[in-house]
Amino acid sequence: MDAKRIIPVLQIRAGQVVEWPGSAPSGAGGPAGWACRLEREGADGILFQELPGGGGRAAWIREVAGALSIPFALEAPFRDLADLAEAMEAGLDKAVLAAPAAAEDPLLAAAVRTFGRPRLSVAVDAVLEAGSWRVALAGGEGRDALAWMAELEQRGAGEILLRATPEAEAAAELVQPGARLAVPVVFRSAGDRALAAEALLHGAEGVAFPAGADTSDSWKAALGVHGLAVRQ
Amino acid sequence: MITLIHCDTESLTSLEGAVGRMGFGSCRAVRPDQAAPSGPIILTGAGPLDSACAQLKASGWWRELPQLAANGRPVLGINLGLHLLAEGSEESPRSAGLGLIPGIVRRLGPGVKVPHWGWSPVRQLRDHPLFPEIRGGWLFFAHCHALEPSTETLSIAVHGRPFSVMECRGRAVGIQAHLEKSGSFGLALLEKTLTVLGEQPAPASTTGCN
Repeated sequence: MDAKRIIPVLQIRAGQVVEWPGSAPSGAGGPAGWACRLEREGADGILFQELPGGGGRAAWIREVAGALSIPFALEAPFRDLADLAEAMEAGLDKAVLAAPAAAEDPLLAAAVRTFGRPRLSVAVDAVLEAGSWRVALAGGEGRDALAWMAELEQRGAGEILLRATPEAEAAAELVQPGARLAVPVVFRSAGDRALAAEALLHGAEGVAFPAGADTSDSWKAALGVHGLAVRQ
Repeated sequence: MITLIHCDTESLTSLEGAVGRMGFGSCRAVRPDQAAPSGPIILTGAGPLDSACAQLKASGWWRELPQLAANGRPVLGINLGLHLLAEGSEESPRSAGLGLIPGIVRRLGPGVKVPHWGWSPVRQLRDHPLFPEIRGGWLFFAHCHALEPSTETLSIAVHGRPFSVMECRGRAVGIQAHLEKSGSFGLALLEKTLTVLGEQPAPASTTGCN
């Protein structure tokens, strides 16, 4: 049986990790230092989220790839195939395309042809509105979230990174039907372990959560109580 | 000196970092004439098989690699590299593989998530005098296709059905998992594999996470 993936999220701006309230500076250093620390704390992978004001990705990606021995992904507003190729060539294992980029069919399709499906994920932000789960897309009307996820799968996405607001209703109403897709769904948690466990029990393959005081090992211990398989 | 075959769409940074931390020397080779004069040749990748095939043919590696292997040069295929070393793949059914490792690569599924991107426990089927015990270890996989296991397969994992994780035919070794992405267990297996293939590490010059 595959392990449920436990994935801490680090926010990054202009090549520097954005430290969170209470995060110990601890001499972890740049992105590679932080990433190594998370690996030692039991992470199965790391998701970097690029904040506006970024730039100069290749250098820090190369540094992380050279030091880390677990996979890492980057969610960023990739402009085009060349932008994506630069990150992949530097050592990125997986790119997470933001929904507006994914809505532009040529980028996702070209990326799948160039890098293959396993290395491409698409972020979906679903919001519960008047009893139905919707996604807001750039330049378009809100779409039914499940229909949108199915469309992304058809277009070649290798994974769906799903954020749902509110999280409390998401496991049964969104994750469970979404888990019928042929591609993996990773649930993006705000940090509530009970809700994350529910999403995993309803079929999510992994959970991404804000890196913070709780280590991946402590998440695994908490999730193991629910009978979920995790890598030790 | 380890030779890493370099295709455009594939990054070698992680693998270079891993072997460098172990103390192995490596060089990139777009073409066969850029290869080190001796030592293992690694073919790795995670992208589409067709484009890797086309690049290897254009660069001369497709013709040269089987000859080098026939002359005793150790060859290690990782992930897509294993698929290319096999006899053929459903991903590109009209093209033959390099044929250094018997068997056909088939698409994973149906009934499971594809791509298989994650960590799976590995089960050893056969003992090998050179390779270490890998029972109970977890390795990282990122693939849509996998080699069907045979009676010669050293180890397997299961994603819907069993698939080959490790093959060794003479001095040609194929590994489905990304060992350089599989934590300390994967790194230990990679180091042992490179040692079995005749490479000796110098004292490590850089440090990583492990």
